[in-house]
Amino acid sequence: MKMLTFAGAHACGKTSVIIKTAAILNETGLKTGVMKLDCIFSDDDSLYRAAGITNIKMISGNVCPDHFFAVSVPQVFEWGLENRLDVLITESAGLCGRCAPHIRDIPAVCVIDCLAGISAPAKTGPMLRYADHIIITKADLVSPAEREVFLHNVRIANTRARISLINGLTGQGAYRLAAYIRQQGETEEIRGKYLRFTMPSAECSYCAGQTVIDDAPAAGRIKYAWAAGGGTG
Amino acid sequence: MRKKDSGDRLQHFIWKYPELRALLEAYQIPYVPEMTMTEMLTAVPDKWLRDKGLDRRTLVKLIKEAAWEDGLPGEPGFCPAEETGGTRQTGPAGLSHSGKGNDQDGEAAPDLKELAVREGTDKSGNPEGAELILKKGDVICVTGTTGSGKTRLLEDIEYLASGDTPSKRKIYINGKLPDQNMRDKLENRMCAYLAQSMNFVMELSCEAFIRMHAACRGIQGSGVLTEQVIDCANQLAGEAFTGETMITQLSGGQSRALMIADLVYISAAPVVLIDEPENAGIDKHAVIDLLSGSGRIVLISTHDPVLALSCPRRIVLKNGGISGILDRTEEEIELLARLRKYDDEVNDVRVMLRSGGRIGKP
Repeated sequence: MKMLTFAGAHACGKTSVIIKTAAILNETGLKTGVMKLDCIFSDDDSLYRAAGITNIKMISGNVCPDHFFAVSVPQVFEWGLENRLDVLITESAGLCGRCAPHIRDIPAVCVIDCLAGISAPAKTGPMLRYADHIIITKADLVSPAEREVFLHNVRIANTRARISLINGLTGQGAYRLAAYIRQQGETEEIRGKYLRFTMPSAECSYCAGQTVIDDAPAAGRIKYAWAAGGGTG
Repeated sequence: MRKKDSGDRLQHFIWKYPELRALLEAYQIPYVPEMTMTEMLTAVPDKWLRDKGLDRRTLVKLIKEAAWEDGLPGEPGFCPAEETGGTRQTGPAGLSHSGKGNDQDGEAAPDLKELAVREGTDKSGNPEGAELILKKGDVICVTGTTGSGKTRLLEDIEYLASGDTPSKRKIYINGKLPDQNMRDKLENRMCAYLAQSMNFVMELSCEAFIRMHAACRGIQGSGVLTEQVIDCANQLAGEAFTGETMITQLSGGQSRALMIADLVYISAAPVVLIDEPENAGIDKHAVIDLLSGSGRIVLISTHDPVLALSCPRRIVLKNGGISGILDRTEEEIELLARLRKYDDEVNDVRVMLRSGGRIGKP
């Protein structure tokens, strides 16, 4: 089974790109399945169902979605094997942009849209910086000059990845991504692999459900915008 | 420890490689210009890097890519030996961000003399009626009813199709089917595509906008160029704007005029694709004249008869395939002259009405 991790900010077009690409892969006889991870709400499973794509939806709810992803991904992998998938795609939203669901040795795709502004590539963080293939969506909605500047900024943020422009609505460009996926090797086992980038280090009483805002330090490992003395820390 | 000379100092590299400064500023890496690169790298705390979503190895890699000619200078032995060589990172060639003022497109685009579209089929799977060969300097119009496959053709060219799209078309560059290496180089920098539904999403003045685009293309001294682009755009659009006008304030016609001028003066893409430019009320003749002299291959998809006849050749699409490539006849040139007169008349009336004029007594 080939496996890929897909990441990108909310509403940037991940699902559309995956649906268009999966349709091409399914046509060529590669059964493609998707695990959709979202934080609070997602109705993308109905979109996948309508497109005839095997899928599973997961909502991380109260737990940091990236932690949730890391602990669930072995089971998702098993789910893919049980469903006899040829291609397993995990789709997770960008969330805070501090983490990346990308795993070493597993092809990583990042989706970013042109409307997010030209500084978006620098802000997107590890999920873009550690990706192997970057998909730029909504490129037809901006001027050619802005598109070029955007491409340039993506290139600065990640000099290594291949960059493709895909129109999620028409599927223009999805052929290239499908071809890229076909070229990828099989992933035999997921246990024992490593994330490409660490998780954030905060772990405090807010993580455990504290909601009150107070001067008193939250118990645990957390960073303050201003340290007790007033300086930055 | 080796004695520091001025060439080892960060100052020197920052001056030499503007990308390096941009990089350090983008990630808010603290530094003192008098430091050497190694001192700067060792001084950044791990915690700081993690906050920026970086690790030290990635930072070293990014710096090497920004200032690659010198590898990592300063004291030897900072990096493992295999990393200090002057070799470029993998990835498409020509994507360097070295300080030589080059850009992501300029070096990569080979001299495009000829582009051919072959072996395509229409929606029913029948071979296309004609092979399309485009030469540098050609301005060709693409016509056909809605849904006839105009956009598909432009897309196939943009994506350098190699039999892997529904049309099965293959795009030949200078007589050869590009191999993977060339495809990687050309991807995203072959075509400049001016779509119908274009917007500006940045909040910048026209001048700042052009300068930014020029800077990202590595063009130095863009002051004169900025004036040229704005002058040119003003000749295409009805109402004049200045360098101080915000791009978001431009009308539809002005925005497209600005982008066409930008394509001609700043963009390096050897192929220009324009989707239905007639809708925005810009000067069609001026556009064709400007693009004809730009040394690119220009494809204009249009429903406008004046625009269609203004090009010496036109491609006709039917049922998803090229059904014919027609050269303009003598009669069509005569007809064009007549149509242009009407067109000019309509234009005059437009200008008159816009400026508050009226015809006859009320």
